[in-house]
Amino acid sequence: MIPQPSWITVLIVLPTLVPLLGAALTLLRGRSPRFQRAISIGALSTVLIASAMMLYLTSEHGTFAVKIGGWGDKGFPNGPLGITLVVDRLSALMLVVSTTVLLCVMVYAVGQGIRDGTAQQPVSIFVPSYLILTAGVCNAFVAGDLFNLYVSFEVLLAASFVLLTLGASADRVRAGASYVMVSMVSSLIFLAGIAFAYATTGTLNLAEMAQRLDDVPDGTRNALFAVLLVAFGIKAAVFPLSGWLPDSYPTAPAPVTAVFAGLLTKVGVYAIIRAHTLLFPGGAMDTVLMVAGLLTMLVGIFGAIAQSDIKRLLSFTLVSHIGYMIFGIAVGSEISTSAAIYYVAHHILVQTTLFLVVGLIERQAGSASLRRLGGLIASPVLAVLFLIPALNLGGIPPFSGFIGKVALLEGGARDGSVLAWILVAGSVITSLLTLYVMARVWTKAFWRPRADAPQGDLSDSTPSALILEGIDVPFDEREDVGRMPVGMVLPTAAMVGVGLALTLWAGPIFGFTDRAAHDVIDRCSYIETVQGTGICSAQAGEDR
Amino acid sequence: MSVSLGLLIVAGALGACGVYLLTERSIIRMLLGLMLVGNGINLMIVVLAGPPGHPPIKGQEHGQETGADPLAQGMVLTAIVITMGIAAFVLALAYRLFVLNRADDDLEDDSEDRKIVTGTLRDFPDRDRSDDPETGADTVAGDLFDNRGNPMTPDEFAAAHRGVIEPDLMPEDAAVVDRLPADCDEMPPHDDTDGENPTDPQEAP
Repeated sequence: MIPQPSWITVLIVLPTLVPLLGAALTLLRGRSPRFQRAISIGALSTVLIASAMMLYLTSEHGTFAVKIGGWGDKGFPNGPLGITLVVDRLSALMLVVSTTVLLCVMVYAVGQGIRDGTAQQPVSIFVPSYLILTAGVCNAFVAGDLFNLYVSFEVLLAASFVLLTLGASADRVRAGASYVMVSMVSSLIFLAGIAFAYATTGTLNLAEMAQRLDDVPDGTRNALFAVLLVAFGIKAAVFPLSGWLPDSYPTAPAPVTAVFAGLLTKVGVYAIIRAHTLLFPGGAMDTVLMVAGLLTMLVGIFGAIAQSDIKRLLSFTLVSHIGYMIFGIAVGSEISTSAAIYYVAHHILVQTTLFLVVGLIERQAGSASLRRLGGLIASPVLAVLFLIPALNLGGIPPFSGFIGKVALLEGGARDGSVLAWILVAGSVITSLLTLYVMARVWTKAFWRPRADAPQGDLSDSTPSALILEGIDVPFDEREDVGRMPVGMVLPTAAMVGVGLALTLWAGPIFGFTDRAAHDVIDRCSYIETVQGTGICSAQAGEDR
Repeated sequence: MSVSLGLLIVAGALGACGVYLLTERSIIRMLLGLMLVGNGINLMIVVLAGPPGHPPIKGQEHGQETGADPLAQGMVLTAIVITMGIAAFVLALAYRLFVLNRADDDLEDDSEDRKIVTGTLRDFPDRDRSDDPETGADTVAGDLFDNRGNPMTPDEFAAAHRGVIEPDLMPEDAAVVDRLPADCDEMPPHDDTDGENPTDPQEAP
């Protein structure tokens, strides 16, 4: 372990602090959209740079930790108390991918607002909520304390409630209300889990808990793990707990859905990875996770086949592909965990890109329903922007989706158990069905003439940014929307480009995720960075 | 460590009543349920943190040997504040839903979900207008479009393709062109049976 430079302390808190300050500033100057845009893009760029620096530092030197507060003295029963923030390779990768996505989507939303916003738009609350969401997501990735993780979940949830119900139309209030209820139930289950964990171990610091949980009887440990898994499983939309997602996401505005689909479920997956490796190693729940992963994949993709609305269809594929990550986590070997981490990064990027493209489709064609769309091939730019991430999601060879899936399958095959082989078969079937669904969107929305669509003569009257303003009108009477705004196409193209970079540099990135997976499974670097050198190796000696 | 059984039972009862209320459709009842469950869990944290009667931080120096655990109290305070903020938001949602519904604050089922439950094969996403209405099979009418997506009559289609399609290269297409005037399917009439009225505003502003 190398000594920590003092400025790393600043670096770790930046991703949480900068967006929060930005949110406060933009809230104060809510009537000035240009000020809001400048501040938000500035804040998100700062966070991206800080995250990239952390990625470099963790890649070179391993884990860093900082304790904020440090209240109490050494004589106090629990030692000095503080908010522990830890950044290891896994956190750093998640941070970089998330902030890239957040920045691109913000630029997209700004472009959309400039072009399609009306007198009531842009909504002044959008940017502050978005920045608070950013702070919550970033803080969740660096939280080194179970309660801090709970608080960051609440921060990002509270912001997401506002974003989901922008404009408070009947649809959005309905979707928002059920989303709020499900999220709060999951938070309360998480809180109950925290109470049990605190009663069991007397600490909530993840590193300290990890040490103490080793001495806890198996029954208690598994019960704790199960409670936390239910809480994280709702957030991550793992099958029996996934019904809320396709109900609530599709009604939100395109940039909001894109960010939610990309990031919020992945925060849940990240929490599952942490709990599975750091707190409860040994794989007590692996069978449950594997079955849940298989069902998530299959049920999700079968749901997608029945949808005509592309946003809903993509929400179902989102649920389905969470199953892949759960599969990787459940197998639990280093190669599987590494593949799961790579798949999380891939899926954040590709799912967000697809939702951004659907936003463009909705703007240009006045609908996102396969019953109305047709003839989109007339715009080759839109066609390319859709086709690349669609093939990527379906797992066509050169793209990152294929690479991630192959790594997951290899992990499953090396595990060799019957259940793992069933999951391997299930993931191949899911991959094929995803391709089928994507091909159908392609043939119906792009290749088919619009006149041949069952309801092709209907469309929204006007493109709308954050608040829906259009009503259904005959397609011929629709106002001319003009060409696609550069401010929306460029960030979408940038996201497609980042997705391709994940393919081109798959070797180095896999090297990195391998080391990240080694770190999270080994636990030593995490625990020692937080608790002090020598603890982990001493304990390993005792075990022997 | 011994804990008070009575308080644990109270926490359990709060949780049970809350879960019952959460299964209702009315937002206000669900909110009450959330708050009951939240209070039950908060009470549990306090109970688990140690026996009553100890001073939290100040007062330990005045002869008291053990202090109460301030961490648990801090957590409960944070949780209470969070629940309060969310409750305010849910109340705003309930009010908005009441304004929109004009009757109650009940949550309806998702309309898209209902469509899938009640829909027939005709509503399936892979249907084209030119498909056979009964079987869903493709018909020749699906080919009757020019390169820009505009509908053509069978005669125009035949005229446009007769010189293009070389019978020895694409015998199937040539056969289609030859057969066209004889057994062409008419384009089915406009399909407006899906309950979506073109003039009906979908979104109340």
